[in-house]
Amino acid sequence: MESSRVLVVEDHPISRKLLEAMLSKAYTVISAASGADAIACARERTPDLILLDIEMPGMDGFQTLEVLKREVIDDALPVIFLSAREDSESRERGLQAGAVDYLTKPYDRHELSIKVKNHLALYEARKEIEARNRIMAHEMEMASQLQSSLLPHSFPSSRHIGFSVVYLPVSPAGGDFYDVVQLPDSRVGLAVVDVSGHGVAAAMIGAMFKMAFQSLAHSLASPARLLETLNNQMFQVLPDSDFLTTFYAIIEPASGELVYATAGHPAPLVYRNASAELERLPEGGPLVGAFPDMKYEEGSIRLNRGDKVLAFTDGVTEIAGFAQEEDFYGEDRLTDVFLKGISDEPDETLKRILEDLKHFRGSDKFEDDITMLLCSIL
Amino acid sequence: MNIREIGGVVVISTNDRLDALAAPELKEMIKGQVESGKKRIVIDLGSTRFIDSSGCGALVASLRSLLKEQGDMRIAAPNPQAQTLFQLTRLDRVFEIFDTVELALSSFPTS
Repeated sequence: MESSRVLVVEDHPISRKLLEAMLSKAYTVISAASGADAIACARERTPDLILLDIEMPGMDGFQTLEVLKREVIDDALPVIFLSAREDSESRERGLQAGAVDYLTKPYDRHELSIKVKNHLALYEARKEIEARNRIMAHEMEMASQLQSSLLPHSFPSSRHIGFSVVYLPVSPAGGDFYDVVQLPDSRVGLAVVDVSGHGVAAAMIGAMFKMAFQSLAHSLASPARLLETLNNQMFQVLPDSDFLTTFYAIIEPASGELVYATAGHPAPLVYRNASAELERLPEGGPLVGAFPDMKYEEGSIRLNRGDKVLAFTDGVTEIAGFAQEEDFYGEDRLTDVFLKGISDEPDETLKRILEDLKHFRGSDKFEDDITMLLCSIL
Repeated sequence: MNIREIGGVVVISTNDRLDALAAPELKEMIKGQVESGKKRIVIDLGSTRFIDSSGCGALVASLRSLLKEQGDMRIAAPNPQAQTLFQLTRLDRVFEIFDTVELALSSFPTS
């Protein structure tokens, strides 16, 4: 392994030689006799650690450090001040100026070697962590882009049907997503999906789902058949611990006919305008991708003007309250708030629910992704 | 979480809550059992008052990895909350669920 480079900045030739002798066995030592010299050396040789004398003619150590930090070295590079004065004030001033440590003359060989070694090790660890963070941030960014490509850019335009959505992933790449597709015969397919986990893996599984779903949605007019096929396809490719839940519906806007099936997913709520009552859409089967040959039942209802369908993920109903962790938001509270805001504009209805979720949680931050898709018959 | 072996079957008793915090531990525990060749497992939910979707997820992942190794899993003594959740998510069609650990144990074919 290449030895670390230590830049020694010291105007006294004898002190400089002494430091070189103490360090040259373990490190590549670069010497500078003045502040200006140090700045040039740091530029050219990119040291891993700098020992910097405070008392020097011309630019002193503080001025040199200021220029170095401003123009040459990164903030994390360890700089240890050297000084003849052992008073706490100049030590404090040195540390405040951004040095990581302070050594007083005459140098103790042992103390010098330990301090240099420790600060180099810390710097290495810090560089490693920063490199990993950069990779992780990059991966997260890619996953986030993939994730947003899963969401529809716009909703199919129809004079019979309108869509509103609240989508709040906990991390840039969440495990929830939704899709609304235009199908043949002016039918509309809509899916709300909750993939196990978050992050890169969830975004990739979401992408697999979306590709399979979009191709199947155009050929299969039955949500139950679609989920059966999708389940077997996803089962082939998903790892043991990954799966997803979904609600899939096909709506014929002109007649209001809605055919649906759920897969291990919370049952959507339907508001009936005529009776002002709520129904649930419970038909379906188990989650997708974990077990082969699952069966799904299908349900159908006829929607009328003013009816609304609210599909959501369990991130909504499983929110833990801030007061007691036992306390869950739950479906009862969701139905109450949904009904209270039912005569508002659809966006406002969802906003009201979201405000209540935040109120219950006692925070704007949630622990799981939250998705609510509200479909209104106009 | 408590783990014991009865007549060649591993019984894992889960704690008060089987949620996002406890799920990884359960998954790891079952993975360890499968790796050491123990492939018949009963999950005893008798002490568990609360289970959420993460807990269900851990059970699903565990059953799936056991089935892949020609093993099997039973669930015993779920409380009403767990039973409702299994019904709503249709996991009652996937899991073999018994009222007691004894019934779950005796459901394994004798080898």
